[in-house]
Amino acid sequence: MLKSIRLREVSAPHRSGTDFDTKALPVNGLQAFEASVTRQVELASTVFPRELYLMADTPILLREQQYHQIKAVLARLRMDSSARVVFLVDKDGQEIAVQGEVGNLDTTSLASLAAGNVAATGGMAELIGEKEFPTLSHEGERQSIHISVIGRLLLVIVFDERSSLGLVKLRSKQIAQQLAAVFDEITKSDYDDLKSPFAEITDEDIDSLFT
Amino acid sequence: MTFINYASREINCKIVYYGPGLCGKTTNLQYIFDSTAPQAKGKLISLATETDRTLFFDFMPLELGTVRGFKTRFHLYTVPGQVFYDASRKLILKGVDGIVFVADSQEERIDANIESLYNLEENLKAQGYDLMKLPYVLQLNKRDLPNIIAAKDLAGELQLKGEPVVEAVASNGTGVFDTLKAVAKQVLTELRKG
Repeated sequence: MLKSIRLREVSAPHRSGTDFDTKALPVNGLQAFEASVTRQVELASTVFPRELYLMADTPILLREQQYHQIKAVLARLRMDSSARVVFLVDKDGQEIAVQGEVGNLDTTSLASLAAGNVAATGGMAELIGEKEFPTLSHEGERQSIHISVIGRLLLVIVFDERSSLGLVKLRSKQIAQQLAAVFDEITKSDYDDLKSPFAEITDEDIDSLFT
Repeated sequence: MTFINYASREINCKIVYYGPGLCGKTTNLQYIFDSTAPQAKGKLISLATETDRTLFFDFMPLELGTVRGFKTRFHLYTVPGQVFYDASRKLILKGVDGIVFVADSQEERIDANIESLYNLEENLKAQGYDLMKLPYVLQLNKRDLPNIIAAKDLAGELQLKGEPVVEAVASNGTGVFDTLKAVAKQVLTELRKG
Protein backbone atom coordinates (compact mmCIF):
# COMPACT_ATOMS: atom_id res chain seq x y z
CA MET A 1 0.00 0.00 0.00
CA LEU A 2 1.32 3.43 -0.81
CA LYS A 3 1.96 5.18 2.45
CA SER A 4 2.58 8.65 1.24
CA ILE A 5 4.92 10.83 -0.66
CA ARG A 6 7.12 12.20 2.06
CA LEU A 7 8.24 15.68 1.26
CA ARG A 8 10.64 17.25 3.64
CA GLU A 9 10.77 20.99 3.50
CA VAL A 10 14.39 21.91 3.75
CA SER A 11 15.34 24.63 1.43
CA ALA A 12 14.15 26.72 -1.41
CA PRO A 13 13.73 24.61 -4.52
CA HIS A 14 16.34 24.74 -7.19
CA ARG A 15 15.43 26.76 -10.16
CA SER A 16 17.41 27.28 -13.24
CA GLY A 17 17.89 30.25 -15.44
CA THR A 18 16.15 33.54 -15.59
CA ASP A 19 12.54 34.21 -16.33
CA PHE A 20 11.81 34.96 -19.90
CA ASP A 21 8.73 36.59 -21.26
CA THR A 22 7.64 36.65 -24.87
CA LYS A 23 6.31 40.13 -24.24
CA ALA A 24 9.94 41.21 -24.07
CA LEU A 25 10.50 40.01 -27.59
CA PRO A 26 9.89 42.39 -30.45
CA VAL A 27 6.68 41.29 -32.18
CA ASN A 28 8.53 40.80 -35.44
CA GLY A 29 11.16 38.73 -33.70
CA LEU A 30 8.59 36.42 -32.16
CA GLN A 31 6.74 36.00 -35.43
CA ALA A 32 9.99 35.26 -37.22
CA PHE A 33 10.89 32.71 -34.57
CA GLU A 34 7.49 30.99 -34.82
CA ALA A 35 7.74 30.94 -38.60
CA SER A 36 11.18 29.44 -38.32
CA VAL A 37 9.90 26.76 -35.94
CA THR A 38 7.02 25.97 -38.30
CA ARG A 39 9.49 25.52 -41.15
CA GLN A 40 11.60 23.23 -38.97
CA VAL A 41 8.53 21.14 -38.15
CA GLU A 42 7.70 20.78 -41.81
CA LEU A 43 11.29 19.95 -42.71
CA ALA A 44 11.71 17.50 -39.85
CA SER A 45 8.42 15.77 -40.68
CA THR A 46 9.42 15.49 -44.32
CA VAL A 47 12.96 14.28 -43.90
CA PHE A 48 12.82 12.16 -40.76
CA PRO A 49 10.26 9.72 -39.50
CA ARG A 50 8.69 11.23 -36.39
CA GLU A 51 10.05 8.48 -34.14
CA LEU A 52 13.57 9.06 -35.39
CA TYR A 53 13.82 12.76 -34.89
CA LEU A 54 12.38 12.60 -31.39
CA MET A 55 14.08 9.64 -29.84
CA ALA A 56 17.82 10.29 -29.69
CA ASP A 57 19.24 9.20 -26.34
CA THR A 58 22.11 11.63 -26.29
CA PRO A 59 23.19 14.09 -23.62
CA ILE A 60 21.32 17.36 -23.73
CA LEU A 61 23.48 20.41 -24.31
CA LEU A 62 21.37 23.50 -24.19
CA ARG A 63 22.66 26.74 -25.68
CA GLU A 64 21.49 30.01 -24.24
CA GLN A 65 19.58 30.91 -27.38
CA GLN A 66 17.86 27.52 -27.49
CA TYR A 67 16.94 27.80 -23.84
CA HIS A 68 15.27 31.13 -24.51
CA GLN A 69 13.50 29.69 -27.55
CA ILE A 70 12.01 26.98 -25.39
CA LYS A 71 11.08 29.48 -22.72
CA ALA A 72 9.34 31.61 -25.34
CA VAL A 73 7.27 28.66 -26.57
CA LEU A 74 6.36 27.75 -22.99
CA ALA A 75 5.43 31.34 -22.20
CA ARG A 76 3.09 31.44 -25.16
CA LEU A 77 1.56 28.12 -24.18
CA ARG A 78 1.09 29.24 -20.63
CA MET A 79 -0.67 32.39 -21.78
CA ASP A 80 -2.89 30.59 -24.29
CA SER A 81 -3.88 27.87 -21.86
CA SER A 82 -4.30 30.17 -18.83
CA ALA A 83 -2.11 27.76 -16.90
CA ARG A 84 -0.34 28.40 -13.63
CA VAL A 85 2.97 26.80 -14.54
CA VAL A 86 4.30 25.07 -17.64
CA PHE A 87 7.36 22.81 -17.54
CA LEU A 88 9.41 20.99 -20.08
CA VAL A 89 11.03 17.92 -18.56
CA ASP A 90 13.22 15.22 -20.00
CA LYS A 91 11.83 11.68 -19.69
CA ASP A 92 14.70 10.93 -17.31
CA GLY A 93 13.41 13.56 -14.90
CA GLN A 94 15.68 16.49 -15.75
CA GLU A 95 13.93 19.82 -15.71
CA ILE A 96 14.73 21.64 -18.96
CA ALA A 97 12.72 24.83 -18.61
CA VAL A 98 9.85 26.23 -16.60
CA GLN A 99 7.57 29.19 -17.13
CA GLY A 100 4.89 30.66 -14.87
CA GLU A 101 3.95 31.27 -11.25
CA VAL A 102 6.60 29.07 -9.72
CA GLY A 103 6.64 30.64 -6.26
CA ASN A 104 7.63 28.00 -3.73
CA LEU A 105 6.86 25.11 -6.03
CA ASP A 106 9.67 22.54 -5.91
CA THR A 107 10.15 22.22 -9.64
CA THR A 108 13.06 19.77 -9.35
CA SER A 109 10.99 17.27 -7.38
CA LEU A 110 7.97 17.78 -9.61
CA ALA A 111 10.08 17.06 -12.69
CA SER A 112 11.42 13.87 -11.16
CA LEU A 113 7.99 12.67 -10.07
CA ALA A 114 6.40 13.52 -13.43
CA ALA A 115 9.05 11.42 -15.16
CA GLY A 116 8.50 8.58 -12.69
CA ASN A 117 4.76 8.85 -13.27
CA VAL A 118 5.11 8.66 -17.04
CA ALA A 119 7.63 5.83 -16.79
CA ALA A 120 5.29 3.82 -14.56
CA THR A 121 2.21 4.35 -16.73
CA GLY A 122 4.31 3.67 -19.82
CA GLY A 123 5.27 0.34 -18.27
CA MET A 124 1.59 -0.42 -17.70
CA ALA A 125 0.82 0.56 -21.30
CA GLU A 126 3.34 -1.95 -22.58
CA LEU A 127 1.87 -4.68 -20.42
CA ILE A 128 -1.53 -4.25 -22.07
CA GLY A 129 -0.04 -3.95 -25.54
CA GLU A 130 -0.01 -0.16 -25.96
CA LYS A 131 3.13 1.71 -26.99
CA GLU A 132 2.56 4.37 -24.37
CA PHE A 133 -0.12 6.62 -22.89
CA PRO A 134 0.60 9.91 -24.63
CA THR A 135 -1.23 12.06 -22.11
CA LEU A 136 -1.86 11.85 -18.38
CA SER A 137 -4.21 14.01 -16.35
CA HIS A 138 -4.53 14.31 -12.60
CA GLU A 139 -7.42 16.42 -11.37
CA GLY A 140 -7.43 17.83 -7.87
CA GLU A 141 -9.92 19.97 -5.98
CA ARG A 142 -8.18 23.20 -6.86
CA GLN A 143 -5.08 22.34 -8.86
CA SER A 144 -4.62 19.86 -11.66
CA ILE A 145 -1.76 18.54 -13.73
CA HIS A 146 -1.72 17.55 -17.36
CA ILE A 147 1.28 15.74 -18.87
CA SER A 148 1.88 15.18 -22.58
CA VAL A 149 4.59 12.86 -23.84
CA ILE A 150 6.41 14.40 -26.80
CA GLY A 151 9.13 11.99 -27.85
CA ARG A 152 11.75 12.14 -25.11
CA LEU A 153 10.14 15.22 -23.61
CA LEU A 154 7.33 15.68 -21.14
CA LEU A 155 5.22 18.80 -21.26
CA VAL A 156 3.83 19.31 -17.78
CA ILE A 157 1.08 21.86 -17.21
CA VAL A 158 -0.16 22.85 -13.77
CA PHE A 159 -3.48 24.68 -13.88
CA ASP A 160 -6.30 25.79 -11.61
CA GLU A 161 -9.84 27.11 -11.94
CA ARG A 162 -8.68 29.82 -14.33
CA SER A 163 -8.35 27.15 -17.01
CA SER A 164 -9.89 23.79 -17.90
CA LEU A 165 -8.66 20.37 -18.88
CA GLY A 166 -10.12 20.75 -22.36
CA LEU A 167 -8.29 24.02 -23.01
CA VAL A 168 -5.02 22.67 -21.62
CA LYS A 169 -5.27 19.53 -23.76
CA LEU A 170 -6.04 21.55 -26.88
CA ARG A 171 -3.20 24.05 -26.40
CA SER A 172 -0.62 21.42 -25.48
CA LYS A 173 -1.51 19.41 -28.55
CA GLN A 174 -1.13 22.52 -30.70
CA ILE A 175 2.29 23.34 -29.30
CA ALA A 176 3.70 19.80 -29.26
CA GLN A 177 5.18 19.89 -32.75
CA GLN A 178 6.80 23.26 -32.14
CA LEU A 179 8.53 21.96 -29.05
CA ALA A 180 9.53 18.76 -30.82
CA ALA A 181 11.10 20.80 -33.61
CA VAL A 182 13.04 23.06 -31.26
CA PHE A 183 14.27 20.04 -29.36
CA ASP A 184 15.11 18.23 -32.53
CA GLU A 185 17.31 21.16 -33.46
CA ILE A 186 18.99 20.93 -30.06
CA THR A 187 19.79 17.24 -30.34
CA LYS A 188 21.04 17.60 -33.89
CA SER A 189 23.12 20.72 -33.35
CA ASP A 190 26.83 20.72 -33.93
CA TYR A 191 28.44 21.50 -30.60
CA ASP A 192 32.04 21.57 -31.72
CA ASP A 193 32.25 25.27 -30.91
CA LEU A 194 31.01 24.71 -27.37
CA LYS A 195 33.92 24.02 -25.14
CA SER A 196 32.98 21.52 -22.46
CA PRO A 197 33.26 23.18 -19.08
CA PHE A 198 34.83 19.94 -17.91
CA ALA A 199 37.40 19.57 -20.67
CA GLU A 200 40.18 20.91 -18.50
CA ILE A 201 38.89 19.89 -15.11
CA THR A 202 41.57 18.64 -12.76
CA ASP A 203 41.44 16.06 -9.99
CA GLU A 204 41.88 18.97 -7.59
CA ASP A 205 38.73 20.62 -9.01
CA ILE A 206 36.77 17.46 -8.36
CA ASP A 207 38.21 17.01 -4.89
CA SER A 208 37.31 20.60 -4.08
CA LEU A 209 33.63 19.76 -4.50
CA PHE A 210 33.83 17.48 -1.48
CA THR A 211 35.74 19.64 0.92
CA MET B 1 22.04 11.29 -19.01
CA THR B 2 23.96 14.45 -18.40
CA PHE B 3 22.15 17.72 -18.99
CA ILE B 4 24.29 20.80 -19.55
CA ASN B 5 22.48 24.12 -19.62
CA TYR B 6 24.76 26.85 -20.96
CA ALA B 7 22.16 29.53 -20.21
CA SER B 8 21.90 28.87 -16.50
CA ARG B 9 25.41 27.36 -16.38
CA GLU B 10 24.35 24.13 -14.75
CA ILE B 11 25.27 20.50 -15.16
CA ASN B 12 22.91 17.81 -13.91
CA CYS B 13 23.90 14.16 -13.58
CA LYS B 14 21.94 11.12 -12.42
CA ILE B 15 23.32 8.58 -9.96
CA VAL B 16 21.40 5.44 -9.03
CA TYR B 17 21.92 3.39 -5.86
CA TYR B 18 21.22 -0.26 -6.63
CA GLY B 19 21.29 -3.41 -4.53
CA PRO B 20 19.21 -6.13 -2.86
CA GLY B 21 16.33 -5.43 -0.51
CA LEU B 22 17.26 -3.93 2.87
CA CYS B 23 20.93 -3.43 1.90
CA GLY B 24 20.86 0.25 2.88
CA LYS B 25 20.29 2.23 -0.31
CA THR B 26 17.73 4.54 1.26
CA THR B 27 19.90 4.81 4.37
CA ASN B 28 22.75 6.13 2.20
CA LEU B 29 20.49 8.84 0.79
CA GLN B 30 19.04 9.61 4.20
CA TYR B 31 22.52 10.13 5.64
CA ILE B 32 23.56 12.37 2.76
CA PHE B 33 20.35 14.32 3.18
CA ASP B 34 20.78 14.72 6.94
CA SER B 35 24.43 15.76 6.64
CA THR B 36 24.18 18.27 3.83
CA ALA B 37 23.73 21.99 4.26
CA PRO B 38 20.17 23.12 3.44
CA GLN B 39 21.28 25.34 0.57
CA ALA B 40 22.96 22.40 -1.18
CA LYS B 41 20.00 20.09 -1.32
CA GLY B 42 16.36 19.91 -2.33
CA LYS B 43 13.76 17.69 -0.76
CA LEU B 44 14.20 14.00 -0.11
CA ILE B 45 11.30 12.28 -1.76
CA SER B 46 10.59 8.74 -0.71
CA LEU B 47 7.88 6.70 -2.37
CA ALA B 48 7.59 4.05 0.31
CA THR B 49 5.16 1.49 1.69
CA GLU B 50 3.53 1.45 5.12
CA THR B 51 6.57 -0.42 6.40
CA ASP B 52 9.06 2.07 4.96
CA ARG B 53 10.15 -0.23 2.15
CA THR B 54 10.92 1.64 -1.04
CA LEU B 55 8.01 1.19 -3.42
CA PHE B 56 9.20 3.11 -6.46
CA PHE B 57 12.22 5.27 -5.71
CA ASP B 58 13.85 7.76 -3.38
CA PHE B 59 15.11 10.95 -4.90
CA MET B 60 17.15 13.92 -3.77
CA PRO B 61 18.93 16.64 -5.72
CA LEU B 62 22.35 17.53 -4.35
CA GLU B 63 24.40 20.53 -5.40
CA LEU B 64 28.08 19.86 -4.96
CA GLY B 65 29.41 23.26 -5.88
CA THR B 66 30.78 25.10 -8.86
CA VAL B 67 33.36 23.78 -11.28
CA ARG B 68 34.69 26.09 -13.97
CA GLY B 69 31.71 28.39 -13.46
CA PHE B 70 29.13 25.62 -13.80
CA LYS B 71 26.89 24.55 -10.92
CA THR B 72 27.33 20.82 -10.53
CA ARG B 73 24.20 19.04 -9.42
CA PHE B 74 23.67 15.35 -8.86
CA HIS B 75 20.25 13.75 -8.82
CA LEU B 76 20.48 10.77 -6.48
CA TYR B 77 17.99 7.93 -6.89
CA THR B 78 17.52 4.58 -5.22
CA VAL B 79 15.65 1.64 -6.68
CA PRO B 80 13.28 -0.65 -4.77
CA GLY B 81 15.39 -3.65 -3.81
CA GLN B 82 12.72 -6.29 -3.46
CA VAL B 83 12.82 -8.81 -6.27
CA PHE B 84 9.23 -8.32 -7.45
CA TYR B 85 9.71 -4.60 -8.18
CA ASP B 86 11.88 -5.33 -11.17
CA ALA B 87 9.78 -3.34 -13.65
CA SER B 88 10.27 -0.23 -11.51
CA ARG B 89 14.01 -0.81 -11.18
CA LYS B 90 14.39 -0.97 -14.93
CA LEU B 91 12.60 2.36 -15.38
CA ILE B 92 14.75 4.17 -12.83
CA LEU B 93 17.95 3.22 -14.65
CA LYS B 94 16.91 5.28 -17.67
CA GLY B 95 19.34 8.10 -18.25
CA VAL B 96 21.76 6.98 -15.53
CA ASP B 97 25.26 8.52 -15.44
CA GLY B 98 26.73 6.55 -12.56
CA ILE B 99 25.83 3.58 -10.36
CA VAL B 100 26.53 2.64 -6.76
CA PHE B 101 25.95 -1.01 -5.96
CA VAL B 102 25.22 -1.32 -2.24
CA ALA B 103 26.06 -4.83 -1.11
CA ASP B 104 24.83 -6.29 2.17
CA SER B 105 27.88 -7.74 3.92
CA GLN B 106 25.96 -10.32 5.97
CA GLU B 107 26.76 -13.93 5.14
CA GLU B 108 23.15 -14.87 4.53
CA ARG B 109 22.75 -12.11 1.93
CA ILE B 110 25.48 -13.21 -0.44
CA ASP B 111 23.04 -14.87 -2.84
CA ALA B 112 20.80 -11.81 -2.77
CA ASN B 113 23.82 -9.64 -3.63
CA ILE B 114 24.81 -11.81 -6.55
CA GLU B 115 21.26 -11.99 -7.84
CA SER B 116 20.86 -8.22 -7.60
CA LEU B 117 24.16 -7.60 -9.37
CA TYR B 118 23.11 -9.91 -12.19
CA ASN B 119 19.75 -8.14 -12.29
CA LEU B 120 21.55 -4.78 -12.56
CA GLU B 121 23.54 -5.94 -15.57
CA GLU B 122 20.43 -7.32 -17.23
CA ASN B 123 18.35 -4.22 -16.61
CA LEU B 124 21.12 -1.97 -17.87
CA LYS B 125 21.35 -4.05 -21.01
CA ALA B 126 17.60 -3.65 -21.48
CA GLN B 127 18.14 0.13 -21.43
CA GLY B 128 21.07 -0.06 -23.84
CA TYR B 129 23.85 0.40 -21.27
CA ASP B 130 26.90 -1.69 -20.49
CA LEU B 131 27.85 -1.78 -16.82
CA MET B 132 31.47 -2.29 -17.79
CA LYS B 133 31.49 1.16 -19.42
CA LEU B 134 29.57 3.10 -16.78
CA PRO B 135 30.98 4.94 -13.77
CA TYR B 136 30.49 2.42 -10.99
CA VAL B 137 31.31 1.93 -7.30
CA LEU B 138 30.87 -1.12 -5.10
CA GLN B 139 29.92 -0.32 -1.51
CA LEU B 140 30.19 -3.07 1.11
CA ASN B 141 27.62 -1.96 3.64
CA LYS B 142 26.76 -3.05 7.20
CA ARG B 143 30.40 -3.61 8.16
CA ASP B 144 29.41 -3.14 11.83
CA LEU B 145 27.34 -6.34 12.00
CA PRO B 146 28.77 -9.54 13.55
CA ASN B 147 28.00 -12.12 10.85
CA ILE B 148 29.70 -10.50 7.90
CA ILE B 149 31.87 -11.82 5.11
CA ALA B 150 35.45 -10.53 5.10
CA ALA B 151 35.67 -7.45 2.90
CA LYS B 152 38.33 -9.03 0.71
CA ASP B 153 36.22 -12.12 0.08
CA LEU B 154 33.04 -10.17 -0.58
CA ALA B 155 34.82 -7.82 -2.96
CA GLY B 156 36.36 -10.86 -4.64
CA GLU B 157 32.88 -12.22 -5.20
CA LEU B 158 31.21 -9.03 -6.38
CA GLN B 159 33.85 -6.81 -7.94
CA LEU B 160 33.45 -6.67 -11.71
CA LYS B 161 36.05 -4.42 -13.26
CA GLY B 162 38.40 -3.00 -10.71
CA GLU B 163 35.85 -0.47 -9.56
CA PRO B 164 36.44 1.36 -6.27
CA VAL B 165 35.29 -0.67 -3.27
CA VAL B 166 34.16 1.25 -0.19
CA GLU B 167 33.46 -0.31 3.19
CA ALA B 168 30.52 1.36 4.84
CA VAL B 169 28.12 1.55 7.72
CA ALA B 170 25.45 3.71 6.13
CA SER B 171 23.45 4.01 9.34
CA ASN B 172 26.22 6.03 10.98
CA GLY B 173 27.58 7.56 7.79
CA THR B 174 30.83 5.60 7.56
CA GLY B 175 31.86 5.41 3.92
CA VAL B 176 28.72 7.13 2.63
CA PHE B 177 30.40 10.27 1.31
CA ASP B 178 33.47 8.30 0.20
CA THR B 179 31.14 6.25 -1.98
CA LEU B 180 29.41 9.30 -3.39
CA LYS B 181 32.72 10.98 -4.04
CA ALA B 182 34.10 7.92 -5.82
CA VAL B 183 31.16 7.70 -8.21
CA ALA B 184 30.88 11.46 -8.73
CA LYS B 185 34.56 11.62 -9.58
CA GLN B 186 34.12 8.98 -12.26
CA VAL B 187 31.07 10.75 -13.70
CA LEU B 188 32.92 14.07 -13.90
CA THR B 189 35.95 12.34 -15.38
CA GLU B 190 33.68 10.92 -18.09
CA LEU B 191 32.49 14.47 -18.79
CA ARG B 192 36.10 15.54 -19.15
CA LYS B 193 36.52 12.96 -21.88
CA GLY B 194 33.51 14.53 -23.58
